[in-house]
Amino acid sequence: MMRVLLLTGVAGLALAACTTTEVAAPVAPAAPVVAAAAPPAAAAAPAANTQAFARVVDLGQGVSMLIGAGGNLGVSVGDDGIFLIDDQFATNAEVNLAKIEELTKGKPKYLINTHWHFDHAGGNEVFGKAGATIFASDKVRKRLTGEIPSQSRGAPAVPAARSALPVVTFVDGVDFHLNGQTIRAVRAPLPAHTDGDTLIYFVEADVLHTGDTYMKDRYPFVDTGSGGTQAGFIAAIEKALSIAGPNTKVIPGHGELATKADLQAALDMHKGARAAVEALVKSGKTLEEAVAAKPLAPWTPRFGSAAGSDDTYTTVIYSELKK
Amino acid sequence: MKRFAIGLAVAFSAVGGAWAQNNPPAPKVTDMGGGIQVIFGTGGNIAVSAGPDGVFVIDDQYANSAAANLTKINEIAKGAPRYLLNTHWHSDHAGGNETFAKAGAMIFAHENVRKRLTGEVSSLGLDGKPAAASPAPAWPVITFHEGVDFHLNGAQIVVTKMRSSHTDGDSIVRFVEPNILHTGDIMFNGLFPVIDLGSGGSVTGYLEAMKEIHGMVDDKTRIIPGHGEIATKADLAKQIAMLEGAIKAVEARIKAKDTLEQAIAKKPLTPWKAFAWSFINEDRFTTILYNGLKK
Repeated sequence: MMRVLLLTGVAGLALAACTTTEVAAPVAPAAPVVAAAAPPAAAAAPAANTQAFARVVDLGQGVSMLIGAGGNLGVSVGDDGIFLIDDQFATNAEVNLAKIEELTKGKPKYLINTHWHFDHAGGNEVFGKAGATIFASDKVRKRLTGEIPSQSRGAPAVPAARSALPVVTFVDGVDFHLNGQTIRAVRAPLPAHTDGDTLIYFVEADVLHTGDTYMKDRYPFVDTGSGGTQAGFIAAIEKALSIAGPNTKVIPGHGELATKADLQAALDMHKGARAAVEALVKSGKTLEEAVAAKPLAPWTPRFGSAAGSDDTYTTVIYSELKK
Repeated sequence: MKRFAIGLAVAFSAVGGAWAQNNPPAPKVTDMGGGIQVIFGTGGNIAVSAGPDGVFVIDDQYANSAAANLTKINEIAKGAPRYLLNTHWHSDHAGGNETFAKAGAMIFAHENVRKRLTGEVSSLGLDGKPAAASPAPAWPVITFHEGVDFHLNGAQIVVTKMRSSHTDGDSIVRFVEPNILHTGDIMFNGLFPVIDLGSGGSVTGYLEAMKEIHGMVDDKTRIIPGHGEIATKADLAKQIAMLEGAIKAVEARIKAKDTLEQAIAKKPLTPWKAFAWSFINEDRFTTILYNGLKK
């Protein structure tokens, strides 16, 4: 029981931590048990989530990355309409929409959610009402309607408003053919960050949006309360590496623009971390002993900038291996 | 029956030119309830789902009937199509794409439909010549591999890619709650079907696909066939029995080492002659089965 509380607590902190990215130094985490008993993090979301995205990174051929609070947005602008990946929070959706309109002289016609979290799909209602057709994997819709219950901390209110729900859902993926791009929405092979993750690749522009299956130079947030698994991260990044070429520009779910080499480093970390924790499990260590042994030390200088994130990731891997 | 003749002749003249497209008959509408209506006209049967989330349409017949169909859809659905799904690429089902896209419809189809409309994959007509590519606005914008679901107007609409059957890009569409299924051209109600070997179709695949659909429906399901009147599971069973019998009859000719001409001359499909119609008569269906079954 303690383990469950601890897990949900740290999961909540991890999500809260990723929502504050780009706006402030990480907030000191509260004690896990307190977080577990606290209301969803959305209720306590920082005021920064009312700001529009701060920067536009032009990736060529009408494709850009928009960086601000919440998940990174991807956008394709052209004659066939505006195609948007993710929409951040409910609280900054209006200002994001206004800024996109100002920059592109149009409203998104196509919107795809990489997953269901409130810092990626929280703006759905606003964008849906503004005319966007929302696409997502079947599990995204089922978690937004509550048909599949989620135990994630920081979960959005369920059921979401009708206009916030994806209208077109897929199991394996769909392709879009617009603005001179072939845009492949590819379902992650296994549940990774959640059980409904989609990666999106702009073939001609050579840009890959990973959703939260990859966050640049951070340990991942495995949202076990939304069906996520550590093994899924390995599969998702292997998939991303199979899609990416040597010059692919990688838009991570959070963090700065990345490269294929960055993805490879993340894959090495995931595999190495799993092997290191597995060795401790096999030698009969308890969870507390495993965490105390700091098995992720080789990777923490690069991936462990958020305080305690190495311990959180160790805990998730340990629990998964013990199942 | 006459309208099918016109319809398919044009489908296969994709190829031969649009000679039969003058004066298409006025569209006739059947209300299926639950916001779903069917438009019968020239070419494949159109299904329309209307409601507050927008108008969803399955197939759009010919280029030259597209304007009239669009007007009819606006009238019965109180709005222009927002979503359009092509069950396959033939010009009697997807010929109106350009007109519908220009009116604002977002076109969905299996990826092989797009490849045949763009000409990336060539499609051979009955005369063995490749069909001309369609203009870019007619190309589906969203393509899928296995299928997609729409959640519209309070209903779930399930689109499923079937095995190679009528072509290599056939989808069927189920309106789950009202229990209505559009088969695309995997069912010609009461008629010998077209099995388009020049577009990746398969005789045995067609039979298997019909059996799969038979397994999905129940006695209350209302089936919208690609061509012909609204059907039931029992009607589908008759189509399956016909095709099973016809395949056996033609396979017997192939085993007996008949040439195509000899097989045709022996009239193997006489027991099923009630399914013959002006475009696919016994001889033509014998030819399709012979060519499709001969290794």
